[in-house]
Order: sequence, then structure tokens, then C-alpha cells
Amino acid sequence: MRDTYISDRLIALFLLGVLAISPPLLAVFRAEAFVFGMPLLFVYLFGAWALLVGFLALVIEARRAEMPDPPAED
Amino acid sequence: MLPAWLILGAAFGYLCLLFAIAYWGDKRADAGRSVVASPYIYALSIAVYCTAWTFYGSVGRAASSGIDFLPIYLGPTLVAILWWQLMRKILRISKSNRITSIADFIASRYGKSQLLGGLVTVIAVIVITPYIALQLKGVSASYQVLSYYPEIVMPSDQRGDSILQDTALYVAALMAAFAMLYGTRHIDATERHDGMVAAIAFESIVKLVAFLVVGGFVTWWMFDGLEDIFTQASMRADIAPLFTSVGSTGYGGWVTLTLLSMAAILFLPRQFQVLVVENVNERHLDKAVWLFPLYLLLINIFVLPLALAGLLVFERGTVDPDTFVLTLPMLDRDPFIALFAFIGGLSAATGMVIVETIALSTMVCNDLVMPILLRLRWLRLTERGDLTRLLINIRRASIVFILFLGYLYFHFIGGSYALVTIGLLSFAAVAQFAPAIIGGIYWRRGTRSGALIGLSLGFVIWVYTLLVPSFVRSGWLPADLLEQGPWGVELLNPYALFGLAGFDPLSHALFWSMVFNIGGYVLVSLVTRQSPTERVQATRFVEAYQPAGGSERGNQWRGQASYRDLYALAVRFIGKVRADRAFEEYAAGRGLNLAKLQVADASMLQFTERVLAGAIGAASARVMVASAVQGENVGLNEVMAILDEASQVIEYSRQLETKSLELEQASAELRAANLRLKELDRLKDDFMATVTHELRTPLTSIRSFSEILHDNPEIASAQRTEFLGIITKESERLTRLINQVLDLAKIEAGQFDWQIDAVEPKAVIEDAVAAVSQLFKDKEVALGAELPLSLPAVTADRDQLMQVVMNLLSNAVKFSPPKTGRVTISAAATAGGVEVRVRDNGPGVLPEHREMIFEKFRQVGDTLTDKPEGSGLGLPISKRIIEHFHGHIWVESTPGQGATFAFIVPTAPARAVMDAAK
Repeated sequence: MRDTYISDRLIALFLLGVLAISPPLLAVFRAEAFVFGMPLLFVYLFGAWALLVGFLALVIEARRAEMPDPPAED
Repeated sequence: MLPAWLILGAAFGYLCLLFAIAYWGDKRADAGRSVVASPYIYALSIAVYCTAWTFYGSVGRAASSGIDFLPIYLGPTLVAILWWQLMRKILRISKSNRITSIADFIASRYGKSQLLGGLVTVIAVIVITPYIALQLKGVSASYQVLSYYPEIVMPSDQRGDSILQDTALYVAALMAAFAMLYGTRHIDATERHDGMVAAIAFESIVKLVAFLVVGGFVTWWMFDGLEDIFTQASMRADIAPLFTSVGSTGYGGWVTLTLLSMAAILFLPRQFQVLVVENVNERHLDKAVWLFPLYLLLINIFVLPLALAGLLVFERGTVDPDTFVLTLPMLDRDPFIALFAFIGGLSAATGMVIVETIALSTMVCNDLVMPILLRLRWLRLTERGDLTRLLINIRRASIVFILFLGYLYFHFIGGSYALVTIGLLSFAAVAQFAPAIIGGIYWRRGTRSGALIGLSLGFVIWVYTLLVPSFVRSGWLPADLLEQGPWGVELLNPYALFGLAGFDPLSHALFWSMVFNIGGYVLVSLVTRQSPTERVQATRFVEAYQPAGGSERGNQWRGQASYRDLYALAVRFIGKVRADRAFEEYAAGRGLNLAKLQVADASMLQFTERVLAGAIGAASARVMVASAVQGENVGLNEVMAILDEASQVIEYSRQLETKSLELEQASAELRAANLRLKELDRLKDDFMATVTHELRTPLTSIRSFSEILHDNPEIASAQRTEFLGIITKESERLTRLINQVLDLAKIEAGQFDWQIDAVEPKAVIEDAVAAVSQLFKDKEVALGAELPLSLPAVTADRDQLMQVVMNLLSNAVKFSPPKTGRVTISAAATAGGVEVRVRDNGPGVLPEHREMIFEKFRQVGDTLTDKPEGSGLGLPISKRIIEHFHGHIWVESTPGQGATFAFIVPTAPARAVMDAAK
């Protein structure tokens, strides 16, 4: 089933998200360093967040493109 | 200068625009062209999560503790990924069960428990009403700040002398009007409010755009971009630590906030309202999975820059960081950006107030007021047909009550610590719903008692570890409660319950409340039993979601089935009487005519499943109903057939076994009978041949001698006499033969006329010997008789018994050699009766012939070469006669040494002998 396929990927993304904001990784990125003129932690958190949203959109929309909504329902 | 009329006018104009949008949305919905049937509107409406607390409070939080405002939005982002599974299941359950609120959801799962629904409602009202007050406070405070423009003056907590001068009151009143207009327009099963959702989506756009505009303005107009802000901030020793701070509570607080916000995004009443109740199409969830996190990301990007900018430009302590969003544009003397920021904050606050109030009023009405009213018998509510007007009025009253309560909170304790912290406190409180809901949809065993105990314990711990301390900090309870515990019992310290110290209050409260909540739920569920309703509901909830099915529709049952099939199914499992009653009740409740009903809809399928589940268990019921739904792989007839086979195959097999056994026996009998018939057929052929032969022999001689006499009239007298003698003798033989055949036929047909009496055997034997003595003389065979002086009488027919003895004697003389032959007849009384023996010294009888000779026309020997010695009927007739007397006849013989024919006849009873003697 394609839905199961999507499901598996979403669960993987969820676990990745949990890992990304887990205290150990935060500790790594709490260094007093600047990237692009911005604090590392700020760049890391928003960058990871944006990446996660991007992947989510990719997984969902790729599936929606393959299985378009029935016109009657939207 | 920014005059009050302009600010109020803008605010009022904005709210009027909301009313207009809601009105337009409802009109479109009535016309059947809903504007909210879009995944984008759906995702925007979920953003009601972002309140005034987000709009103003996040910046304030970031200004004091850095990045730790983020978990509040990262948690929902993570949960949104799981919506694909989790929310879809909740959606499906809610649509098939017609769920209208979170209280309804929990109550429905645990056997439609009114107690549980009431408990959830009470908790929600206690927790959420102060939260509404906080929004009112946000609006009021932001108005006050803006009204001093261009001066930057912090609002005081002192309320004006007159309540009527309080902007919050008017905002509350307008919100109440909006909620009453667009939240209670109609009562129907779906409980959806298109106009309200359209307005909320619009508010989400406004608050996002407003925040981004303010953020962009501050970042690129007041500063030279993000780098500039960060670079300036990094040079300030008091601000730079915020870059790496994850908050005053450390990682523990970070994790706690993430978990709390994960629960909040699912179980806050307003979130449940927009996510579940207002959902138009399950497919909209797909896009919301990434759109909503994107929204959260966007609205948070400028939070830290704004906080840093505020800290940079304002002297520490002069301006409340919570107002930075408003005061930064004011500092730059830009009235319209400031006004826009105010409108953004207003939209965030009103959106939350509207949805939360509608959600709470539905809960108060459906799960608190109505159950109580229905129990008050004197109201006779159950007898009234149409309750919708009453329901709408209760909801409107609830809306007014909730908003007024919220306003009172704001007015009287507006500046207290208790109210300011209610945001996170309410998150912790709604997290108490999580075990009952998550457990409820994945764990079938969860019981009503378990949910009640778990929820109650969790809430009590929440009150004790979070609400009580906030009261202490507001100065309403003695401060030493938090230092020494109640009555000096350190173990009961609300901040270090049971000695658990070293955690921040929120983590501490979350831990203990969840220990008691989950622990109580699981343990009590394991030791209590579910009622039948609970069991049915538990199954409906737990099994509602089937990932393999890939169903996109809200209904559990998608196909159609014929009513006849369902009825037949039900009759099969619960019997005709109960099935009739169940379906009639169902039809009566919906005004259906069963006689005309052809196609059963989804709800009828569910109904049938429920009916069946009571009889055959929920899982089986589901399978059975699925079989009746068209488009499934297995047809109903096939399942019926399988069932028939299952129940009858054993019976069939047993019957088959018996039958096959009987058949085997019958076939063996038939085979034996067939063999016997063939033998009899052959015997009959032999009989016919023999009889014909026997009859022809005397006939031939009679005819020959008659012709001689006829053709030769001059034949000598002596010779004529001799010939006539032969003719007479042959005629006698012929007569005797025919008599014998007739006798045998009569005996065999049971028509023989027997004269049964007590007979003296000795006299019979003597008569018989006398009768046949001429035969012996003719053949010169010696005949000896060895008879005792007397013999007991036997029961027999005298003439037939004599016939038997004569048969045996004539038989013996026939087979005895002439001249040397010797026949002896003897008789003796034995235990079984009188035994008579006739012994000869003829050729004897071979052992294999001893039975055959008693059959008809069985003449032992080669009939072609040997001259036939008799009719062949003597012995068969004798055998039948003796057997008729209940006697027995047999032959003893050694071949070459003669044979002995013997029979035994039972003696007669004493009385019969006496009669015979007379």
C-alpha cells in the first residue's frame, strides 16, 4: 500500500525531528559560534525545522501528485 | 498622535470585518459552496493555536530566557507529523460516532459515560476560562500601551474606576456576540460552523502577516538585518548569553515544554474543535501535516530578533518585553505599523476566544447541562419532541457565562501570577486528557473506571502541584506552604512532592500527575470489567483505523449492502425475534420503512455490527458485516454457505458414516441374497428338468402299453392283464409324484391342512413297516425293526409322520443292494423327544452331499448313467414335515458302509397324551 509507504516515511521523519531537538544534540549546537552572522543554535534549530517541513511537504505532496484528490471531494 | 477613536475604530472595523467574513462563509455554506472546504483554510484554522500569548508572550519569554519559547511550537510540529496516523484515526472515530467535543470523545469511548464527560467539561472550564481572561488582558494591555502613543508607558494593573471604560469588557461582549451568532446558528449532527472557521482562518493570516511585518520592519528598517541585531547583541554581556540559553529550567524544562505542547495541540478544546469537529474532509489533513508546521516556523522566525532588538533599544526594566512587538514600532514613531501590530495581537486573542468559547459552550451544554436537565424528571424533557431551541439557548447562555467569567477573572485577578502563568498551566491540565484518549484509541482494555480514576488523580495532582503554588505566589495562600509543605510536612511540599526535589515546577508537576494519571488508568482498567456498551465502544474506537484499508472517508463503512442480507445475517446470530425487534427499533428511530428498504446505508451497517457484536463478539461482527458489504472479496452467500458447512458438515459426515455402514451391510446381504437367488434359480431349473423327466417316465410307459393294447386287439389275455397292471402301477406312481409335488408346494406355501395331535410313534412305525414290507419283499431286502416295548407319545400329524417313516424306508430300500441289502429301523426315547433311525447298507452319502439331499430333486449321483431311483421329493418333504413338528432330521454316513437317516420329534405334553389315550 502506498499509504503504508508514506506512513513509514513520516514515522522516520518524526523520529528524526525528535532526535534533532533532543537535549544531547542541542548541547552540541550550543557553542558560542556564529554562522552567517547568526548564533549557531538559532541557525541550527530553524534550519532543522525548515528542513523537516521541506521533507514533510516532499513526502506528502509527492504522494498527492500520484493520487490526486477526487474532484468531488475538494 | 494616535487618537483613541482611530485605535478603537480600527479595532471595531476589524471585528466588523470578521462578522462580515463569517456571515459570508455561512451564506456560502448554505448555498452549498463552502469556502472552508480547502486544506489551506483547514491548516490556517489550526493556527488558532497561536494566541495573544504567542503574539506578545513569545518575545517576552525569549527576552528573558532565550530560545526556550520554541518547544511550544516544536512539540506541535512533531505531533503534526503523526497526524497522518493519530489524527486520522481520531477523525474517523469522531465522524462515525458524531463526536462534538473532547468531553464527548472521552465519554463516548468509555461507554458514553455522562460522569466522565461531565468531569472533562468541568476540568476544561476551570482551566480554560482563565486562559480566555489572559487573552482579554492582552487586548486590554495592548490598547493601553498604544493609546499613549507616541509616549511609551507601561499599562498599570489598576483598573479604571468604571468597568464601562474597560476596553476588555467591550471586546468580551463583541466576542460573545460573535460566538452566539456564528457558533450556535444551528444544531446539527456535524456541529460545523463554516462562517466561524472562515473568520478564524482570516485571523490566522492577519496575525501572521502582522507579526512578519513588525519583524521585518524592526529587522530591516530599524536595524540592518538579522546580522546587525545579532552582532550588536553579542557585544552586550547581558544579552549575549541568550544565544546559547535553552531557558532557566534547562533541558528538563525543554523536554517538558515539548511534551506539554504536544498534548496541547491535540487536546486543547479549541484545537479539538478546529482539527476534528470543523474538519470537512479527512484529506485536508494531508496538507495540514506540513502547512501547519510551516506556519509555526514563519511566526517564530522574528521572535528572537525582536526580543534582542527590544533589549538593545530599551533601557532594561523600563519596558515590559511582552510589549516589544507593539513598543518597537512605536519607538520608531510609525503609527500604522504599531496599529497593525495591535490588530495582529487583537486577531490572535479574538480567534482563540471565539473558538475556545464555542468549544467550551458545546461541552457545557452537551456534557454538563443537558444530562442534568434530562435527569430532572419534573421538566419532562424526555417527552418533548424538539429540543433544538432549548439546546441553542443553553449554548448561548454558556457562551455568555464563560466570557463573563473570563472577564471577571481578568478584572479582579488580572495582574496576578496565577493568571499570567495560566497558559502553561492549562497545557499541563489538558495533558491529563492524553492517557484516556491515546489509551482509549489504541488500548481496548481501558475501562471507564480507569479513565475516571486516572483523570481525577492527574487533575488533583495538577491542582496541588501547579494551581496551589500559583495561588501562593499570588499571595492568596501562605507562602510557607511552598517552603515547608502543609502543616510542616515536607513530603507534601507542592514543589517537591514525596521528596522529589531539583526539578522545575512544571516538570515536577508533569511527572507526578502523569505517574498518578497513567498509573491509575492502567491499574484500575486492569482490575475492572467493561460493561457491554463500553466493550462495544472500545472496539469501535480501537478498530476504527485500518491503515491497510487506506480509506479516505470518514465513515467506517464505505460500501453498501442490501437490507435483506443484513437482516438475514442478524437473524442467523440473534434469532428472528430479537432481530425483528432490533431493526424495528432502528427503523422507528429514523423514520424508515423496513418493508420498502432495499439498500442499507453505512449507519445501518454499523448498527448491524453493533447488534451482532453483542452476540458473536465485536471482531467477528465486523468480519460478518464486512462480508455483507458489496465490493468485498467474499460474498454473503459464500459466507453463509461456509457457515452452513461449518455447522452441518459434522452432522453430514456422521450421517454419511452411518449410511455407508448400512449400505455396506445391505450390499453384503444383497450379495448373499443374490447368490442364494442364483442357486435357487438353478435349483428351479433342475427341479423343472427333474419333474418333467419324472413325469415323462411313467407317462411314456403308460402310453406305450396303451398303444400296444390298442393296436393289437388279439393280444393274449394274460399279457393284457400284465400290461394293464403296469399301466395301473405307473399311473399310481404318477399320481403319487403329483401329490408329492402338490404337498411340497402346500407345505412351502403354509397352506397344508395339519392334524396336529398326540401320536403314538410305535404304532405309526409298525403301520409304516407293514405298508412298505411288499417293497422289501419285491427287492429281497431284509427289513429289521428294533423297537422298545413302549415309546412316549409325540406331537405330530399321524399321517404325515407315517409318510416320513415310509419315505425313509422306501428311500433305504431303493439304495440297498438287492438280496444282500439290509435295512434296520430303530426307535428310542431321548431327552429331546423320540428318535427314529433307519439304517441301510447301501453306498452311503458323501459328506458334501449330506445337506443337499434334503433339497428338492437332489438326487445324488450321475442321473445320466444311473437310473433315477426316486422322485427326489421324499427327503425334502420329510424335512419340512419334521421341522413343522419342531423336530430335526439328519443323515449319518460313512461312504461305502451304508447310511443312517434319523429324525427326532418332541414328545407331547402329558395332558395331550391322556386325551390321546381316551
